[in-house]
Amino acid sequence: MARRTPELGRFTDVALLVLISLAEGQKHGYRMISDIEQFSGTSLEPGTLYGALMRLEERGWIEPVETTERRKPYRITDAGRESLREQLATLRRVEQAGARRAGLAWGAA
Amino acid sequence: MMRLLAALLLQLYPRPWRRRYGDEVADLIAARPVRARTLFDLAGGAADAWLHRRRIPGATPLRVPPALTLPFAAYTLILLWTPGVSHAPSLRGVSASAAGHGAIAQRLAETATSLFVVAGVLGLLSLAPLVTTALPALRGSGTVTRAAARRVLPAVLVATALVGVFHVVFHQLARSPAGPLGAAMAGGFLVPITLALVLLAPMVAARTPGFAPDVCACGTQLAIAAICTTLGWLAVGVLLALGLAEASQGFLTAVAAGAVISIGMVTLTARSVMRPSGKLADPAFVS
Repeated sequence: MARRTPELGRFTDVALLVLISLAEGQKHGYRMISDIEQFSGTSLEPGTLYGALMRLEERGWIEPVETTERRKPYRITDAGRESLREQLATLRRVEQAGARRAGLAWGAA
Repeated sequence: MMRLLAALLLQLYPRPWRRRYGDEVADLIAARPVRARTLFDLAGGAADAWLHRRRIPGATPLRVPPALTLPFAAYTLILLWTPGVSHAPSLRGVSASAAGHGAIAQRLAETATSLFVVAGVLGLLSLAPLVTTALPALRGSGTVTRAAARRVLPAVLVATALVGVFHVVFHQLARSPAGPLGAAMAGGFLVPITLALVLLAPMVAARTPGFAPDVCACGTQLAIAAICTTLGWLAVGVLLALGLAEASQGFLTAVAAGAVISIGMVTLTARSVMRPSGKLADPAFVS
């Protein structure tokens, strides 16, 4: 999937899914899992999700939103949005190269 | 049952992680179905959180207290004594081979021995500032209270007695060092344990009001002792390099491990007294 960075390790793919989920607005863990399952078909478990959240927060790509509720929402930061843009661009290049080599033409009937 | 197991697995996460994410994950567990893969995922997540503890927002570096580390290191050092200091074939071979390089081998052995002796003596003398402050207080004069002196003096006596008992018992039970190289290295194995036993007194003094300057002086002397020990091992290292061809693999491994543990122990001992992070020289504890 996305280009792996040593800091994110095996959480690279999950981190990308989280960034995509948060790109449309702040969410807490439960809503992130549901959203990610909906748009990617990937069912995340809590340990994996929070492993990725911890790394994303450490890198400053997401941040918690202050709330008095038990469920703490997270939002994507400007740095996170920039990283997401780069990762999606990489994916786009990979997708185009793959489609060209496989002779696929998306959208062709 | 599965939810209960999941809640128990959450307890395996590091405390800073639980403080930061515990409620959120507990909430997720309560709101979603818990399956076997959830449990495996949580167990893996706990291992990951421990392995990458420094990534947890707000986590402080994990510090193993010297009271746990030093006894374990000392025990390992004692275990390495026989394959290191008493391994006659390698020690004699290395000594003979090094002697071929002239008088430098003998000078290196003497240097190592002297440095280790100085380190040990400095370690014992590091208790002197505590004694010179505590003794006048017992007679009703001095800068600290009589009660404070009554706490510190017994600690000094116990530390000194422990050093004495250790050396007597060790020399009775352990095999003697083989050859001049073994004798030169022996101090490198014994000094760290001596300093670790001495540490008891400054630990008590650091928690006793009025002893802050003495604890600092003690820490300085222990730091100099640590430097002497490191230099002593450096001399041993050069000596070994001169006769490397005669050393067996097992002997070299034991000596290398002994040197690393020895230097690590003396450094940790000095740091425990000097660094505030060790909570020994912290003003909050000493005044």
